[in-house]
Amino acid sequence: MVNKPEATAERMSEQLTPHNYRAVRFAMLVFIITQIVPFFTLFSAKYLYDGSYVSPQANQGFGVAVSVLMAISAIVAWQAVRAGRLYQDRDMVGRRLKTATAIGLLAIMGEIYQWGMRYVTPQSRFGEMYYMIFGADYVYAAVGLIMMAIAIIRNIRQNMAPERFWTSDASVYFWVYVCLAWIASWFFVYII
Amino acid sequence: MAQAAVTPEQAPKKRPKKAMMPPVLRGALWAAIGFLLVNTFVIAVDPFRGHPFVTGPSVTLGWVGAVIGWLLGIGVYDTVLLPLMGFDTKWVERTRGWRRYWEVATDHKVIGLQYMMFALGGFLIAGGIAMLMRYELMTPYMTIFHYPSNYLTAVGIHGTIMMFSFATVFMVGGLGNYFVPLMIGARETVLSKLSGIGVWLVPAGILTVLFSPLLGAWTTGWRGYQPLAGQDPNGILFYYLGVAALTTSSLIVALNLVTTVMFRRAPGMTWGRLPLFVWGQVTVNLLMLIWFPEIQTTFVMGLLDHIVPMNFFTATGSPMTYLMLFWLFGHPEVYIIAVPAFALWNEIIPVMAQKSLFGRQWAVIGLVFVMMLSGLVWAHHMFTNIRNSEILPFSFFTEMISIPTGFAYMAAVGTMWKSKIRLTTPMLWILMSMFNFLIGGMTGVFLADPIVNLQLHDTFWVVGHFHYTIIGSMVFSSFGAIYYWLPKLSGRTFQETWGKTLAIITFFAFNLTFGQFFLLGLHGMNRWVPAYPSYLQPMNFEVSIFAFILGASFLANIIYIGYCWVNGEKAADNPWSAKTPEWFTSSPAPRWNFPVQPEIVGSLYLYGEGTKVPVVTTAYDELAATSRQSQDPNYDWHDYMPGRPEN
Ligand code: HEM
Ligand SMILES: [Cu+2]
Repeated sequence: MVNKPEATAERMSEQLTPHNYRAVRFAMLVFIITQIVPFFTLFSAKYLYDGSYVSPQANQGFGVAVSVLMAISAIVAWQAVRAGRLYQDRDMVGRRLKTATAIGLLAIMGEIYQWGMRYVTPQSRFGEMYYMIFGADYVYAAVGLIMMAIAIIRNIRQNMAPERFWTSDASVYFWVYVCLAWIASWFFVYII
Repeated sequence: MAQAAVTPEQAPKKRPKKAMMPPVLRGALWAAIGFLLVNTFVIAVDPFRGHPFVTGPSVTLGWVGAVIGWLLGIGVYDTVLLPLMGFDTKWVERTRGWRRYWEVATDHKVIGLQYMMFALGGFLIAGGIAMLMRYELMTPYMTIFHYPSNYLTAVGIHGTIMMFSFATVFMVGGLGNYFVPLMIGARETVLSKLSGIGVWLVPAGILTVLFSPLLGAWTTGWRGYQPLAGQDPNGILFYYLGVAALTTSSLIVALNLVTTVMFRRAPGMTWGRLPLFVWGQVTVNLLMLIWFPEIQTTFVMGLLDHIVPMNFFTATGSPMTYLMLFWLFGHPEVYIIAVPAFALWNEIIPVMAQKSLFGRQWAVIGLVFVMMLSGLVWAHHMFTNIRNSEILPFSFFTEMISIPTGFAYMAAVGTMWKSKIRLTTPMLWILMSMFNFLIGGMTGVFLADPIVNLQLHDTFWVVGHFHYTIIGSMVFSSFGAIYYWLPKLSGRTFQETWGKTLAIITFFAFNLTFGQFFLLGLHGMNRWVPAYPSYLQPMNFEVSIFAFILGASFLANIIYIGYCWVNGEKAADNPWSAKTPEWFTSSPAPRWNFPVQPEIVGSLYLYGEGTKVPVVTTAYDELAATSRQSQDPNYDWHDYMPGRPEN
């Protein structure tokens, strides 16, 4: 582990004990599971309204590219968790967090481009579900990006002893959820 | 490194000398700034903007800015944002004085009282509005409301505030936060900071709904029915937004309590010994975790229908989809309200009877099955809109729900059977609650019958039915709980004569008001009407008189409880001779609940000869799986990490 400025006692947030760690991880996972419900609702609505209709104007290539990027981002982000857990390597964690965020941002930009093309109108049945579902994705992605940014800032400013890896773990958990939600959205909007 | 873990007792930091602006004021200020900034920004960039400074989209996003400003100002800035990013913070939590109730706290007892305080505020506001509604209904023509839409807005605000900020909040956020940790012998909750922040969404939500008429009337009632909502002016936006804040707050409560029950039980507090009230809380928390995100999504769709606009549920869309999505949440919601009350009956009755709880497992199974069935009955609210073949299964499941509900009655009645019950004030409230809910439930069975339903739909019969189920269960049981736990909450007690008198007055006022709602309904009185045929006036007039008495008696109870809280006689440590852990510490409980970690060594519901005291306070650590910190000086933090190669 390289030396970075040590945090003052005041600056350090309260440490996690192992049992706290288990409890907050459980809470985070439950929270993420509850956040499957909104997408479940939206996908059912899509099915109810449109059946399996997909607008022929939808750019399938973009859809695939965005999903693949999201998948890669999720994998890299998970590697950051592993870097923390297995090697306690603060630099490696930081690098991977940054890479994952960058790839994720790229994917989001891609989808924003598609969205900005306005190839369907929000007044159409397919269009309104398209905008709604990816709109939800953007909101979650924005939260996820903020969490990743916080994890990166903490990685720079704090000595990330194992007790403190949880913040980046939590961010990554949420980010992986964002990526999976994105891929699922692609699947439901572009494919079925 | 591992040994450095901070225990709660350690490190009493000093509060900084320099006086900070009172958090509530700072929150209000930052909220105003947040609203102005975002609203102005949206107006500036909105390509479709018209003349007004406040438009639908701008007020929606401005509201988000306001809530963020409010939360940051109330304390999120110092307690979360700074430390999260690794900056110094001067924040130190207060441990005494009334001021700690007006800022972000992490003590679940403070948070519980905050929830109760805000929920009661909502109850009084919405109750006051009910008085206005009943005043309007004293005459068959319009008096204080000048347009029907004004009356309907009042109905909507009454229903929304009652449901989302009182009925769902008082027992779960309030009593749940306060008593669940105490009853499982925990010394704190897991997500204490998050929960201390979440409570501040309640006042934000109540005020949002209350001030919705600023943006225009809304006529849909608390259900936001489409396509009606799509035709309303912007007032409905504050309904969606206020409910979003309130449900988010309740979601945080649910997450925190479930995690706390999973990880903070005292040694010996096995699932088989878990207090019934805690079981009730855990089951409704699960319901909340499933259905609140669902209704939030639905309301976001309704909101976008309004401001984008989209056509999800509007005339060209699919109004039935909205009904489905609403009631998928709506029916579990009524059990979120009622199940903690069922649990409370069986918490208080064994204590007052000093007799072992009858059929404890069945009481728990009943709670769990009610929870599971509640997701299968939603369409009984839409019988008028669906086909006969679709009606029947829902009719069936609705009537089936009365079976697990019956288990709660069975356990209660079985416990009281041949016991020398002490007819104290809390017991009286509980018995009244059971009686009222029975009426509510039986009138519900009538409504579940398709043919009857088609006649009674949208009449005052329905209004009577749901007030009996909601007030009958949740409000009466809450009063019972408050009288029962008053010695615990305040260290003081009340006088039985006063308590009983007030309970009896409330009971009669309630039944004389809402009992007649059934008759009004049978005589053809519609819901959601400020004006009605004049032959209904005599009865309506007299119902309103009883409603005013009822309002006054609720108020009298609240005032009396407040009076005893401050001036009552000092209470004994365990005045009811109860066996659950919350009574095995001082009243009110100290900051970390118990002087040392208690241990549970016996059943909490066994009374009579040869039963032992179930709670001992000599254990020095919690269950290995649930403790804050291992006592083993050689333990290695990494042994607990998942995914370690050698594990
Ligand atoms: C002081 C006692 C109360 C009185 C006199 C009262 C009276 C009323 C009246 C007159 C209506 C309107 C009926 C209509 O025109 O359709 C109503 C609706 C309603 N009340 Fe109450 N109420 C009281 C307490 C409560 C409580 C404690 C709750 C829940 C905790 C509650 C929940 C509701 C709901 C959900 C509605 C339906 C609103 C809608 O149709 O959208 N009420 N109440
Ligand atoms: Cu129902």
